[in-house]
Amino acid sequence: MEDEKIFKKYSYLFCLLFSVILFFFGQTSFSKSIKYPFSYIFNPIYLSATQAGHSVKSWAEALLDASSYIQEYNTMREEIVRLKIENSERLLDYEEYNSLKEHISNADKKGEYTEAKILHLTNQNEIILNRGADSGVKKGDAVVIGRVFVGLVIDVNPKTSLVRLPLHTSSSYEVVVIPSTVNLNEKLHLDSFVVSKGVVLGKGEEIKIENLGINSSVNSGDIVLLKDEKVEDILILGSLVGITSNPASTQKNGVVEPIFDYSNILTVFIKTK
Amino acid sequence: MKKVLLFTIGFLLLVFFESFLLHVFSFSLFIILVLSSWKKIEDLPFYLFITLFSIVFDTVLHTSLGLHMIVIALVLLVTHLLWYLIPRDGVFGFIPVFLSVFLYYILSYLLISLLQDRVLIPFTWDFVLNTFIKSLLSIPVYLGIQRGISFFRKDDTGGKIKLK
Repeated sequence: MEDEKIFKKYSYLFCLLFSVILFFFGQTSFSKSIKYPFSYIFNPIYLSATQAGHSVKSWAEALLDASSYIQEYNTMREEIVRLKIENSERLLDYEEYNSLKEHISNADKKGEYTEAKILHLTNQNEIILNRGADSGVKKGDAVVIGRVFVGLVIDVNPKTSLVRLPLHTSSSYEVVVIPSTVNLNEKLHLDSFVVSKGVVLGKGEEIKIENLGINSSVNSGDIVLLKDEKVEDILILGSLVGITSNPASTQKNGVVEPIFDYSNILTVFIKTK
Repeated sequence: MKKVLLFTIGFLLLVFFESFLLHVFSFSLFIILVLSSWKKIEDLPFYLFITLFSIVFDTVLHTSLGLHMIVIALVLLVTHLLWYLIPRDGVFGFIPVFLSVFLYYILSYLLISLLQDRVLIPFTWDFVLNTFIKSLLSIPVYLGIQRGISFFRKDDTGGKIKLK
């Protein structure tokens, strides 16, 4: 009876103690055995709630941005009229053919890809995808769009997976810088174009690049390619901007501007092989 | 049996709404429910509820097991101290709730990156402002739930919810 009273009085302290024990248990490999059954039951609920949330969010954004949509609609109507006058149908077909051709040529033909939708972008610069171990996704798989690097899979559930973006503060990769004039679609020996090697570090808001050779001829706009053992291929990370060099230092630093805004991506490809 | 069924259905619905609100507004209904029901329902179902819910969200959000539970436990500890200073049922009873919800969002942001990735993510003003607004919005939701709880309250149970 006395014990029960003590428990009632200090229940929040017992709760804290239990949570710490649970956390340490979570650091062991046994945590998977707890997470897996929960994942099978609750991931479908999470997926459907997120999808419902996504459609509500899209509608809300569309309603809030209605004036610009009307403006865009009117512009498009004018554009359609113009295109019709110019007999644009054939031109559109041709452009579509060209963009598809370009996409196919950009993707690495050796790999096997799984298409995935982004469910959630976290505050910590991680994304949750709607594909998991059931689709053959493994920890360490690279996530790409064409030849552009999006992130690495760091955790896998049966139905979902977690991807760490290069912006994440724990992300660091070895990279090489090549001039922006190099055409990556041509089959070239890239090593001969490398102007400097470096290391990129995620800083939350931006991606820093460090350890660029002080005598290297890197310029703003140069292409930063990922060449790291964690990622098997050579993938594009972004372009170099804001290069700074301190005369007292033996290296140059800068910032990598990603090819696209990660918050705007909807679909990605996981390289599963 | 009835209680178990009610708990299960309620739990599944809450997981759905929590995931939905988290995706749309990054808003948490769970923390408001925890603060509303703490010391108003029996300890066993209360702690069972927060443990299960924390494990579910550690699973679906791919965070380390126990992280959400640590956040909740710390918030409960602080709330307990705040309720000593400002009585829960007093005129200013909403202030500890506001501070606790604010702390929950801050700790979720900080501890998940600190304990899981061993990095400390700096705050941005946008984040602080968003958290402030979400914590303010939590107060009417909390008061609404309090009203609901008092509706179900039995006179002779001294503040415990009736679950028949």
